Amino acid sequence: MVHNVSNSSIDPLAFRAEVRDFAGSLPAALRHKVMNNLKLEKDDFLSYLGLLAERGWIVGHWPVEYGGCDWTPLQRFIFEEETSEAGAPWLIPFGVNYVGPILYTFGSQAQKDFFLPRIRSCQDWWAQGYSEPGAGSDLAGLNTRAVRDGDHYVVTGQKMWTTYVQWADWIFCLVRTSQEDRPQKGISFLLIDMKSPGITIRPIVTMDMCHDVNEVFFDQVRVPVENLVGNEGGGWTYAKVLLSNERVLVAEVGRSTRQLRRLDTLATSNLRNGQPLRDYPPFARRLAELKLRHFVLQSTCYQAVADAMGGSEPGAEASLMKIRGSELQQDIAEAMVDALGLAGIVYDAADLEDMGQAPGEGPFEAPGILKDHLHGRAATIYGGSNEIQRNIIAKLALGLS
Amino acid sequence: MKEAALPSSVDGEALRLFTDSVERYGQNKYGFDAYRHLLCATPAFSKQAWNDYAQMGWLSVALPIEDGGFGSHPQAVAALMQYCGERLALEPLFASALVCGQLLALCGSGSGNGEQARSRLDALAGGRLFAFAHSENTSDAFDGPVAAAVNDDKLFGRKVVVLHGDVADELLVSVSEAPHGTDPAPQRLSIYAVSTDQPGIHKTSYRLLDGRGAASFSFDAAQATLLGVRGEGARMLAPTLRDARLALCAEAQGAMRALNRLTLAHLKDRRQFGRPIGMNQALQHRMVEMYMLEQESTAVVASAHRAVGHAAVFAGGLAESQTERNLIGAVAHVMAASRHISHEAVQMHGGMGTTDELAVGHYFKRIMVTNRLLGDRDAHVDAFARADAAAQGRP
Repeated sequence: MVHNVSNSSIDPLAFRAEVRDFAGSLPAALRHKVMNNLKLEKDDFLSYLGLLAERGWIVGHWPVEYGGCDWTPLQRFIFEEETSEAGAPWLIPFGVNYVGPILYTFGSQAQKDFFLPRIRSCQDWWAQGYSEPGAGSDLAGLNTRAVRDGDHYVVTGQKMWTTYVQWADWIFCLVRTSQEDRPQKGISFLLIDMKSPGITIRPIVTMDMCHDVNEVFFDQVRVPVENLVGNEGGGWTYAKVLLSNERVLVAEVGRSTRQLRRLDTLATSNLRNGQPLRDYPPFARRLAELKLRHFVLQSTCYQAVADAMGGSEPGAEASLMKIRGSELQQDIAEAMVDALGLAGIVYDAADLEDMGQAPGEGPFEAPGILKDHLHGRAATIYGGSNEIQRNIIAKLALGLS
Repeated sequence: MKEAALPSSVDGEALRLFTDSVERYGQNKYGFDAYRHLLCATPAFSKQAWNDYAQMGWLSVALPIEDGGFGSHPQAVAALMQYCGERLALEPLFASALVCGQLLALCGSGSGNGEQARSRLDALAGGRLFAFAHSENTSDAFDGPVAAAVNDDKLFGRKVVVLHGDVADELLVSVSEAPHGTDPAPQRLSIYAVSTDQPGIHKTSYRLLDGRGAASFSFDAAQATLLGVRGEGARMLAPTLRDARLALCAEAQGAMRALNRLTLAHLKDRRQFGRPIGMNQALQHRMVEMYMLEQESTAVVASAHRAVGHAAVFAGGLAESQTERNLIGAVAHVMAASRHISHEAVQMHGGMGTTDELAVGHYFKRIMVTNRLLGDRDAHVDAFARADAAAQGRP
């Protein structure tokens, strides 16, 4: 990572205050939706990205030469922490955080010139095509094939769990271009225009009864050779570099801060045995334990940021933070459902859309709390399941393999 | 696991035939695809299955033995509720046949307005839908009635999250007797029957997490019929709620059994890194934990059954406090076990476990509801602590 000397001397407190100001000025309607886990439409996400672009922060962590601010790891962490805490929507990462950095690091000049400005201006919505039905934990076992035919690759196969691909203009995919001795070797990184003939999307409804993820089928889709990123067979390496760049953010500590604060509020307004829930000893204890874990996670994040600022190579800490962050998120979400009492079993996904309309029973934020709990069960599965993360720690940090 | 001895009044052969028929029906008639189809319907259950249940005598399970029922025999109840848990059955077996059935039978067994209760049992056994309206506050959910009050058989107040209240023909309402506008006296409870088809009732219907329907009710001078003896409701409610919690254990057991079966099969089938994921010792140990929790659940529920009156002879007759301790201990364990298993089953199924397409997520949601219907995790452990103190003779 390139470090700009002047950025290293930036006052983190001043930067935090700046981000907090920005986050505090988000449109109330948008914040309301995020705070209550209501359904966000494409335009909601785009309006946030637009505000970031206006502020010059949409790709703050990119190098200056590609339109970024060359944020340090600390700045980036502060940005994520403050914005999530304040109720900013999920910053759709596929363009800004995922494919962008891969392109400016490994892409051709033509790819940089064409795609990077379009990411910065939110002109293109990107999706990620990694997982497949037979390649989940074992991502390198992927089977989507790209066969060279003149100036094109012909892509056939199936991707899964592709978030918001129904809105996407482009999808970046890991595809198999050859069979080698190790499965990781024959994988390439392709950029595919979603308007190409031969692409079919099938929605996957998850147990929160919402449609965020999809299956994508590629049937003889022709992709120009110039949409290959880097070298043929280099895709696995590029994807791995990307993952280590994301190391501190996976903890989503700002989001947990926000949820804990809401749990506090809920435990104050909701009663148990006629007293506020927060005064009920078993719940008070549970709340304290969650906050303790949050404190530990936050400390681990700061440690990782400090290590990254010191220029250390990424190790297994991303896996640690992914594990702890996702488990904490799930346990906060479950405590929130429990705080709802009987209202915690009333759920209709339709209530996530009707802003301001009271659901059948319980406080109006109840549907969002339930959705968060149901949706959040995937947090320990996606982005490399927690089982895989523990394998990584065993191997990388402990040499057990 | 050894089964509790049967009280002499229940015909063991009839009971065996009954539990066999429940199991057979589940295997042959109530599949996951049919269930998923029903979720999209209004109301979200099968009228056909409901009629079948009535025909097969399932809805008579709470009727007194002399009237052709099983007197809420725990094994008959367990068979029905395991069926509900394992098949994700959506019909109001729990709310109508079991809870309201038992409440009517108990109210009908005494003097006072017993006839009003007895006369409803035939209709219930024939398929008329009853729902039990008890909780009055969602955030402080597990206390008895506070606000519902009666004036000359006119009911006022509010009841929330009444399971199957959306379709019920009649409600059985726990009521604190007090003149309207005065502070109700929680210790003077009565049970009233309230027809849902009348102007004094305002109903708000909605769906529960697991797809079943429910409703909240406001009563404004609703016509209500006293069942049993005025002010003696607590005596009817206590055994009904006790057995209802045990019934929920059986439902959770059915769901756990299904989840463990599905997860084990998945560990053997799903291949990653060139071999079944079940070859990983880390996953084996977690599956073992799920298996142990299911085994322990069978054991604690058997303890509870032995302790509860029907089989008192087996345990040599336990003190009331000891019975309560065994029973609530079983509830606390089974609920925690089913919660753990539901989390693990989703996790080990990976992404597919979080989809609406696979049964795993549906069991997850059913267990969430079962875990919260009559007390939540803290309430169960609190109740165990109280029962434990009482069993040791401490106040």
